[in-house]
Amino acid sequence: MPWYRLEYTKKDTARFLSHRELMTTLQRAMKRASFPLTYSRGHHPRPKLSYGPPLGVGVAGLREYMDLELDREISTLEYLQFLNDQLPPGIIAQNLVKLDPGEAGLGKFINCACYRIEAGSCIPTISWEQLFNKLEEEYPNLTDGLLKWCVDLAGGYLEVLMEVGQKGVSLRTLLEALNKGIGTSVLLPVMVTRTGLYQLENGLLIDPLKKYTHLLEEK
Amino acid sequence: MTIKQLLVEKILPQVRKPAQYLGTEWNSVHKDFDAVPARMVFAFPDLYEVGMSHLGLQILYGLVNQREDCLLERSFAPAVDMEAELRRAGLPLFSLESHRPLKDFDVIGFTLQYELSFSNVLNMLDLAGLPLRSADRQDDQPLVIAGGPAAYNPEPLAPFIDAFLIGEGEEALLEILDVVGEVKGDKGRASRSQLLERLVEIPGVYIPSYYRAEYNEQGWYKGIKPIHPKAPERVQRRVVRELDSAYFPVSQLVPISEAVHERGMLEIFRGCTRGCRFCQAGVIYRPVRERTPETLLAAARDIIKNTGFEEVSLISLSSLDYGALDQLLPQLTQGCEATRIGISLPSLRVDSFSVKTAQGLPGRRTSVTFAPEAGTQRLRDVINKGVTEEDLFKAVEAAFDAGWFAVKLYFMVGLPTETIDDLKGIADLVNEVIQIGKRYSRGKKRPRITVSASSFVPKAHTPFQWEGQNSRDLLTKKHHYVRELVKRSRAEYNWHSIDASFLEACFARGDRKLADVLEIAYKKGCRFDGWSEHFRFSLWMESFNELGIDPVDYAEKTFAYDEALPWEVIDAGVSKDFLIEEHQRALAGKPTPDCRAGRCGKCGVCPSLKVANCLVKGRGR
Repeated sequence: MPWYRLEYTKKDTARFLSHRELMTTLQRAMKRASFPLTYSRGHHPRPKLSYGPPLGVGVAGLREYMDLELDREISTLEYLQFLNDQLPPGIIAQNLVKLDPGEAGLGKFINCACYRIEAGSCIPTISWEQLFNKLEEEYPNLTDGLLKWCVDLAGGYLEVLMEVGQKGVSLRTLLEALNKGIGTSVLLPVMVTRTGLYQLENGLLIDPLKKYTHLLEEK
Repeated sequence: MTIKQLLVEKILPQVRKPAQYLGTEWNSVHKDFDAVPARMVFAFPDLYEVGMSHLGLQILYGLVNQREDCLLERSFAPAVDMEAELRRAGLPLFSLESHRPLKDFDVIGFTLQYELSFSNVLNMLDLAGLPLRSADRQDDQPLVIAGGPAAYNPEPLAPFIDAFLIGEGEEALLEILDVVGEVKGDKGRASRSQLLERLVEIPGVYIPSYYRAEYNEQGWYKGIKPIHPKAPERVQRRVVRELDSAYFPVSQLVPISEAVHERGMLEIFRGCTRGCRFCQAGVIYRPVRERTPETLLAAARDIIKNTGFEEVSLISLSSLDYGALDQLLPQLTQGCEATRIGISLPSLRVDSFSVKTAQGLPGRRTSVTFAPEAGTQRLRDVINKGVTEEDLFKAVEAAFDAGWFAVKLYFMVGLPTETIDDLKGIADLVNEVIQIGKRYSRGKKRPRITVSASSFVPKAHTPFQWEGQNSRDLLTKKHHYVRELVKRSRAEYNWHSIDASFLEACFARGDRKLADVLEIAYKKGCRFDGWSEHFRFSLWMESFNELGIDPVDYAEKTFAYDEALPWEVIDAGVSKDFLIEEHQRALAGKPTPDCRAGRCGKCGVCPSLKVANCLVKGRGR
């Protein structure tokens, strides 16, 4: 049966949904939109869905992904519209594409994530670079999993590309470190957005829909 | 900044499960607030996860919002962390749909599902920025109404609530909102006193300030007298005569934050005439009114289509009693299997037929719950629970046979006439169930038996309303005794907090004097008394002490038949003579048959409320 990949956005008030709440919301929207979902066999059939790395409560995601198996081929444009008609505010289905047979699932494909951390009006008095240097003492491995960061001081945000999975530092640790480094708790609440999920291979960043490839520059 | 902006930017990032405060559920209704004349907020005095699983909310929400000139939004008791944030930010309690302060609504309507949510009612009024007592609220402030099963003894809440609606709300609530719209006219606000003058004319509406409660020299409740010319001596409950044609919601709210039950709700009938003598629901929802299979199948289809739920639950007080199961279930199962929808039954009757029926339904099921309620045949006859030992053993065998290895058994401890033999009987039953389980063990996989025991709480309008509760000491001893006997046979034994059951008993049969206790306890910080992690019994005891009221006088009081009962201002339709006779039959251990089968037990509901059992017939019966 064919597998499809959905790219969607979780933003505005919907960023307050937990991963689990988001999964159920998407699944129910697909049922209302009459997606011909394929179910597992056995006593407790469940739709065959697989989600990208979970997004924390309060964190927005611009390009998030899920894979789904369907009983038959569908018109992706048509079903994208059906789905958008059934989604609550803040969740937007962006793209739906059919996967080639044998294509890697999201879990295998994605190995890094890009976050934008906005400090709002609480821009640290020292530069982000100085901050990272300062943090290195206390969190020696902090930047290990950080593949790249870029700072927009004027916009007051920091963009980081980090590894997904066990190797990398967690977003929570990073935020905690930043908070400590600035020596104040006013950094939080910050607005955190995951701007994209990628596969990094041989210095190339590829998104799960393979629409873009970027060359990754040095840190 | 609007409430919504403040929430999103400052507050929601700080609280647990923030999605519950968004109001973006699928099928939620967002109307132009300023364009609708009669605006009501449904206030559920417990957490979102509890309230969203409640059928009454779904019915009234859909019903009122169907009307162009009315609007019904939701507000749940904020969790403790949210309450702290709201108070810190100086924000009022708001509705989920428009994020308006509760104060902006014409009507705030509480549903009273259980006595232990009363402190949350006060907390929600306070968070709304309203004085707790009706008498202290301005004439142009919102009308505060309340309904639900715990309104059948409204007296402990009398000073706080402007008007109670007794009974089923489908018709009466719309009548209330019509009056609100009329009295308000083109003024921005309705005058509460004018409103009450009109609402008193609606059957089922009880306005506590129109009555004076009287006490004798010892402080005992003596009776209640109307002090307003239009106030009726007794307020008769409302009942929907034709349930099959009554409104039923098929675009049910889909929780966006986790709820206790997330499933489509199909109410197959209302009312139960089995006549368990401790059960209040069995009295206040009489008679039995079944919906036809055609209505139910159509509703089920629409619910599934409109919600996307994974499961539909067949709701009623005793779903296996539905008269046309043989027509409903095959078709429903067929439709659900095709769309991979599970079908669940909230509780199973204690017999093998129930188990076999449940086994045939699609869906995930690993555990099964039976409620024999008492340990011996004698005591089961006293409470009129028509279940025999053999029924239970056969039901359990069928469950193990079906591969459901987690079996939960419900019992009640402290029932009237209970002796040590009855307690031993509980353990004997459990032991036998475990023995049966051993026969069904497969290798290492053994059935898991959980015994869940509650303490008997006498409830208003039941044949046991005159009976006092066992003392807390005695209940503790009884639970320990049973637990010891059961532990030996390796089953888990849990019991509900005895202190909480004690408090529940005080309020279930309390009078207006308990309102003062409630107010003090609330001010001391009592909230969420039904949640063990929040229940602070010592604060309650302090509050009783400060007022010189002994809670034991309420919980353990045995009333004489000719004594005035605080809840008698409410007429539940069942005659006092019937309740007395049932009480006597209980003491004599005589069962009373279910009138479903045709033999009228003369409870009085049908003639007094001008209703009748409405039963559908299956093909095979």
